[in-house]
Order: sequence, then structure tokens, then C-alpha cells
Amino acid sequence: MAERIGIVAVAQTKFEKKKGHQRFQEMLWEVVKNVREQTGLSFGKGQIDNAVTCSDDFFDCRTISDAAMGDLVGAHYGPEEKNAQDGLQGVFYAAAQVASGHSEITIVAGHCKESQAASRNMITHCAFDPIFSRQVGLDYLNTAALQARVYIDRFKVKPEQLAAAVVRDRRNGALNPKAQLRQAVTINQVLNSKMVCDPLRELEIYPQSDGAVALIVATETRAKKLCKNPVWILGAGNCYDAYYLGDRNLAQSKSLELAAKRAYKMARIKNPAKELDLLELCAGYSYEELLFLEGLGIVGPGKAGAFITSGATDLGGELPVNASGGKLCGNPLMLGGMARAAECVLQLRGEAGEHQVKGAKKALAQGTTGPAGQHHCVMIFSNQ
Amino acid sequence: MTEEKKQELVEIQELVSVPNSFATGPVMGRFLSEIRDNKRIVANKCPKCGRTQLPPRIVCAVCHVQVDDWVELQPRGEITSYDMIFIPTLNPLTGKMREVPYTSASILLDGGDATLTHFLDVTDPKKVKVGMRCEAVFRPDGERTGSVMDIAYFQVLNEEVNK
Amino acid sequence: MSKNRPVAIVGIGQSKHRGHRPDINQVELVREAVTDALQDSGLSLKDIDCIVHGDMELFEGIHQPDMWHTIGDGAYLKSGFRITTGGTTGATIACAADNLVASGYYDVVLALGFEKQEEGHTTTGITNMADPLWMREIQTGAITGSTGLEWVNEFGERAEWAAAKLRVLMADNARRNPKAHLRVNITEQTVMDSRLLAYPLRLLHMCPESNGACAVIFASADKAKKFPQKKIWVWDHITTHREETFYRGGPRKDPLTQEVAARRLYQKVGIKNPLKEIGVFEMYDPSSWWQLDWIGNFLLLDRKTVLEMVERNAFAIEGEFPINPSGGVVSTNPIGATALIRVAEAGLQLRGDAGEHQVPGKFDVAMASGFGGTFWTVLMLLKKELEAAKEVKVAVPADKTKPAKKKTAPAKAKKAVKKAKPKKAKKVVKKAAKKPAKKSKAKPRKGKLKKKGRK
Repeated sequence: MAERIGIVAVAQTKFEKKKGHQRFQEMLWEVVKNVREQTGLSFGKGQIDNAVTCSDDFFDCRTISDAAMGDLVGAHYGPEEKNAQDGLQGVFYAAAQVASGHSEITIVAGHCKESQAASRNMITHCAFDPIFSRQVGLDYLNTAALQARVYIDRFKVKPEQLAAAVVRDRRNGALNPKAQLRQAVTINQVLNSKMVCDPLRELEIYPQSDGAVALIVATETRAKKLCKNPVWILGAGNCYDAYYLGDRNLAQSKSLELAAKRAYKMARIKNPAKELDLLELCAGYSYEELLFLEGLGIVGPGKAGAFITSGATDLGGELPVNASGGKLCGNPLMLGGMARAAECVLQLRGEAGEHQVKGAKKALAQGTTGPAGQHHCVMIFSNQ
Repeated sequence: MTEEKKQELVEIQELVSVPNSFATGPVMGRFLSEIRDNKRIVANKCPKCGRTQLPPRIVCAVCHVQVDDWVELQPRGEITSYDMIFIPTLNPLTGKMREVPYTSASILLDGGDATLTHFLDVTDPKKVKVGMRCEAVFRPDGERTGSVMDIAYFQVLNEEVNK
Repeated sequence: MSKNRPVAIVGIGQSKHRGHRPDINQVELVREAVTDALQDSGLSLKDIDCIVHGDMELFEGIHQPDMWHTIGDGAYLKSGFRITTGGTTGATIACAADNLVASGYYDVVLALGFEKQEEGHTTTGITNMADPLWMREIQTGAITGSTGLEWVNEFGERAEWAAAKLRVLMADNARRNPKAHLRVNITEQTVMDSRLLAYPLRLLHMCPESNGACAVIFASADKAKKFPQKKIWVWDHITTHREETFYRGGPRKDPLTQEVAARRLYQKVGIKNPLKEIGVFEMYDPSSWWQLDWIGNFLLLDRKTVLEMVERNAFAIEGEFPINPSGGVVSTNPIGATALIRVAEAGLQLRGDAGEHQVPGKFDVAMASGFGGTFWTVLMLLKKELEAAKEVKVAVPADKTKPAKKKTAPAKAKKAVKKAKPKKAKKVVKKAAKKPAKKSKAKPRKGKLKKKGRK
């Protein structure tokens, strides 16, 4: 009999601008301890038998950044592998390890501190090749600005539409105790916030953030014994786009379209807008909230702005997006997608408190890695 | 006959330098403060298996439990292994070349079962042996900043040389 | 818990590993290995579903290098992951590719390991793995003589000559391997006279810094059966890491992960006598001293026996138990690729395609090890034939649409097949009715279900 794969526990730290009072180890221990307590699990035979960590040598300023996490995830004479991309990829990889029969229970633990380096832009600047792109002074921020400009111009997106997405996220974040930014903002505040990198204003850019997330993934048999309401992984997909910005149509997210198609196929979803009850999008910038909705096939190209301003994506709307507040309320670069997965699980277990989407049955989490969203990962969850 | 022009191979030189500020956290923070303020070396101790941990860490990797108990170790102990490095390499924290030769040693400090790695003041292979004892030499008051380098080095105690 | 479905290696490729490659940039180096693997496999890029990339980015100073490297590995519009674990990376991505294919999510996965060491400062990069609050001021990369010191203390100069002899053997092997980096003609005296790094570790004992890439293509059994290249199979693998802090002496002696991994893996697959049951071992030897030390851990032999075997050249290509016919890591070390090269070379040996450095005779099992991190070990066993693979007759329809399910291991394979068959047949018919048939797959499964790999 075929077994499904379930998530049996999730934990997130409160995301903060600078967690100067903790090292990575203490930050990760908070969430690892939490998921272990939720499930009563330790490490070894019959317990958690495998680990996937998510982190990045640059952000940690440490070669083999997973070495420091081994102590926490049972890697002393045990297995551990690091996925050095957005943490949602780590969740996907862990699901593959369980599906392969290699593991019955895998812990996924990601951490990132954007506060450690003098500037996260100095780090992302290094993602550009030293032969050409780096010479032009690119980093993920100005790359996002370039893409924003292309998208806005192509579809004549109004600033109010972009601001509406931010306002929605910030309103939801105010209801989420884990969110870093918990104050709602108005359209005017967004439109008048300081210009940081034209056309992106301060309130349209995700804040510098530190934090950690942990999840436990298990086979169906184990999952049903470990918690009363496991959340099932219905499907997953990911995809790379071209590297050079000039090789891409930046007004469209081709890799997200394909990643989503792959996930929908696996999850047997034909009409995502109708079949999904909520979306958690790893949008670090206002325009991404629109672009990603189109990439997921929820609305047609250029139509996302109107969809958002109609209220359809509000907490009480027909398809709530980022009920958690999303990455715009604060997640570090490496954890955007993983926090989205955690939030989906909370929603599907009815544990999202004040930002709960009522009656949620199927949820989608999206994560992105690379310049202007070169790589996307999509995962679909259900509590049925 | 004309010679074919060989393609010129261009190399781009770049120094990647990102300033970082490392948090010490409650566990290492305590360890470093004790060295800086009191010239004391402390380790934490697993409540389950009793092992002392240097550097102190939030969990015991063997028992998978949080470690909250602390013990004071003596600033002296036995050399369990050592390396005499003769080849100079770059120190990634400073960007400067290390002085060679230098000796790094693993020292089992009295009072626990954990080892501390640090420099020895001896770089003559004939003058060091596993089993010898050595003692920490702290930097003077006012010069300690809350770093493992607040200990300048470990001094080999010569009573064991003839063993 | 047993493997969901068997996985084959269907293509193996490497770049020419060299100390200096000023003629190509990083993505071109990646492309060299990927092209080599595709050529070897007889496949084209469109046959690849997913790419698993691994390297140690702080060496070259490129953040999220898998993004740039898509230009060289053909990952455009394909699925992909980036998995990296220090020195073990190459072996880890081999395990990852195996897991991804076995899971059923992908049918053909290309693992790509890469490093262009000369575009960074290797030893400094390794020193940077140390805790900045603890050892980073003190460590000098991977350079340590402590293991050698243990051997010299126990066996005296005899140990130094043995380490030197191993190094010479690796050089002799490397000269028979056109892909190897250091293909030098040296004697034991040359090794003993080479520059001292950290007593008794000398320059020639230590692995070089190489530029290179390696690509290995893994595929599901049903796909593999249609591919032209000879198939070999992933038998099993194990990953054994250690805590963050190195063990450096003291009363609570830690066993080496090399030995723990070996014992666990042998027990899992039923190997009782590794010397007899394994035909060739591509081991990760960062230095000749560590090679000398770990042979015993992997093969469950004591030090004296290993010493005697080294002295009578038992580990030579034509010897009793060949180790590193490729020349090993001391001859070639592009770190992100190195552990994958071990898997690749082990695979070539099983296929009989290792050319001049081919181990003669008939053997069914090859082993590859990876090393890195805080003394971690990854161990992979490859097999020429796999019982589970023989059972696979019918192509599994539309693998990409398979939901994220895991098949449970039936207690006794044969009985379970009989019980399960009628259930599965019904399911397939239902599926066909719902979906518009893109591919003709509306046939109830005939023949036996895929049998699980092992007991």
C-alpha cells in the first residue's frame, strides 16, 4: 500500500531584525527543541533517523555552515545533509528522502541571520559572476528593482496596486505573533516611504531579518502515531530559469510557472485558484506579490494587481494570500519559503490563531532562490 | 606564413571581503566573559553523561539534551595531541599570513574531560611530547577583550621533558 | 524500511582535472564534465529531469553558484537542488541523486560536483570552517600531522616508509589515469624528502588543489533499461557525520566515523568479509597518512595488518585488494567534485571501462567513500547486478505525476507481490479513466510488482 508523507510538527522563532543575543546554535535549538517536544522524538533508531539543514556559507561566514548544526540535529554518528537554497527546497528534499525509503522521520532545520554581515547586499552581490554581472554592481536588491521596473512598465501596474499587497501583508502580520513587523501600514505610508532602489521604496522591501525554522517530515504510518493531525504533502515542483537577466523575460516568471505546473501535476490540481484555500508566497518585494500570483496561474499576466485590490487575497477573501504576513513582514533570505511551509502547516491544523483562514484544506507554499527569482520551489499541502 | 594569434587569456582579480560581526550568545558569551574578567576557564557539563564540553555548547551532541550546568576547569593540563605547522597560510579573520612555525596543541585541562586547542610556546619538535603538561599564560589586565586569544599561549612545563 | 525502487548509474563524466585551467571559466569547466557524462551515457540534455549541484562556494567566493552554473550544467527550465556538505559533498550529491530517483519524483537525475580551487585560497577556505570564536585563529586548513604522529609513535620510521609507499602507489596509479591531476613519477625517497608541512605530514603526502568537475547520471530502472550505456546499480549508502567539535584526545575516545559507517553499512547489506566481498575501493584519501590510518577502519583490519599489506603492495591495481586505482585524492582534489569522482571511478571499474587503470578480474561490488566536515564519512556501495532491478519489466506510467507516496516494505517480498497485485491493477484502470490519455498507459500492470531491494 502506498504511503503518503506528512509533516508532523513545525516551529519558528520570532523573526527579528537582529538576534544579537544568540548564536546560530541557540537560535536553531529553540525550534529543534520545540518540534522534538511536540512529537516526543529524539534521535536514533525508531526516532528521527535523518536530518536536512538549510543554511548558507556566506550568510554564516563559515565554510561548511552545517557543521555547527550537527550537534542539534542528531548528526553525531548520524546523517545530515545541507540544502543551501531557500529552505522550502530542504522540505522538498526531505520529502524525497522519506519517499525513497531512505528515512522514516527526517527533521528539517534552517537558520539564517541577515544581521551578521555588514550588509546582506554585499553577500548577494557575490551571487553575480565576477566576469560580467558583478562588474556592473548587481545584487539581489537592485536586481529586484530592475525586474520591478520591467514588470510595472509591461503591464502598466499602478503604485496603489503594489502598495495594496504590502498593506495586506502588514495587516496580516499584525495578527501573527511570529512576524517581525507587527504594525499595519496604509497605502499612503507605503507610497511615501523612503525610496531605496527605484522603483522600490522602503516599505516595499522585506526587512533585514534573523530567525530559524524547523519541521519534522514522516511516513504516513509514523505520522499518524506522532500527531493527531499530520499535514500531507500532495505535490512539489521546482525549476531553474536562465541566469543572465537579459536572457529572461523579467515580466514573467517562467521558472515559477514550470515549478507550479510540476507541483500541480503531482498534486492533481487542475484549477489552482479554485482548489487551493490559501497561498503563502515568498515575496520579498511588493511587485513579487503580483508577479508570483501570475506565475502560479492564479490570474493571467498583468491581472494580479486588480485581483489584489479587489480584496480577493485578503484574509477574508476568496483566496487569502500571506495570511501570515509573508516575507515582507520579515524572514531572512534563506528561510522565506520554509517559513511559508510552516505557516501552511499551522493553517491546515487550525493553529494559526488570529490569522487563521477558516476551513482551510489545501495550501500552497512557494520559495525562491537566486537573482530575480531564478529558481522557484512550490509545495502543496492538505489536511485531508 | 603568418603565425596564428593566440587568444589572450584574461584573468580578473578580486578580493571578496565582507565584514561580519559574530554574536557570542549566552553560552560562549559566558565562557569568554570568564576568561576576560576573571582569567577563568569554564566548561559546561552534560546533565546526562557528565561530559564537560569545550567549547561550551547549548546541547550535548551525544545525549541530545540541553546543557545548563557549568564547571570551572584549571588553566593547565596535559597535551593530548599537537601540530607543528611549517607552512604559512592566510588567516581568514585578519587577511594576514600566519607566522610560522607555530604549534597548536590539544590540552586536556585538569578538572574535566574536555580538551582546549591553543598555541604552545614551543616550536622545536624535540621539545614536545604527548603527555607533557602545560599552563595557560593570560594576557595582562586591560588587554583581554573576551576572546580565546585572551590566553596568549600555553607554556610547556619542563618537568616532563625527560620522561 | 527498504528502498522504494532501484537506481542505476547510466553515465559517468569528468573534466580533465588540472592545477591550472586559465583557458576556461567556471561554467565552462562544469560543461566539460556534463558533456563528458552525456556522451558517456548516450543521452542528451532533454533526458535529464533534475540536476543536483554541489560545491564549496567560499573557495571561489561565489554566492549560490548553482545559479550561475546553470549555464554549464544545462539546468535551464529543469528541476534542481543544491546540496553541499564540505568535503563529502560529492558523495552526498550521489546519495541525493539516488534518493531523488528512488523517491519516484524524478526518473533521471544528474549529480554535478565542482571546484575551481585556483580561483580562491584553499587552505584559508578550509580554515574558515572553524568556529570564529574558537579555532579559526589557530587552525591551518586540513593540515595536521597528529594522525601521522600516532603511527610514528607506534611503529617508528616503518610507518613513514609505509605512508611514502602508499603515496608512490597512488602516483603510479594516477599515471595510468588520463583524467588525474598529479601524474608524477616519484619514489619513496622523493616523498620523504618533500617539504615538511606539519610533522610528519609532508607536502607530497597531502592532496593537491585541483580544478575539476564530475558528473554522474542516475536513473530509474525502467528508464535505464532503455539507455545505451552499461548499467551499474546503487546498492546502498550511509552518511555518518560527527558533532561540531573535533575529538583531539582525552579519556572519552571517539571511534572514527569511517569505522562506524563501514560497520553499519556492512551490517545493513549483509557484508561479512569486506576484503573478500568488495572488489575495489575508491577511498577519499586527503593525505597518505589518513589513507594509511583509515584503510583499517573501512576494511576492519588492525594497524599491523594494514602495514604489512602496504609493504607487500597488496593495495595495487593488480594486488589482493585494489584501493584507488584512479590515483585517489592525493592525486586529484577539486573538493566539491572529489567525493563524486570516487563514485564515478568505482562505477567505471564495475563497468570495466577504467582503461589503463582498470582492476583486472571479475568482481561485483565496488565501494566509494567521501570525507569532510568535522571528520564525516559518506560510504556508497555499487553493484554490477541487483536482484530488485531484474524484476522491473514494465515502464511505470507517468512517473512525474506520481503523488508523493512511499511504498511500504512488504514483510516477505514474494507473498506481498501476490497480495498486492489485484489492488494495483484496479487503481491503474481508474487513473486511466479520469485522465485524458497523453501517453498510452491504461493497462493494468502485468508481471510482478517491483520487488523491494533487500530483506
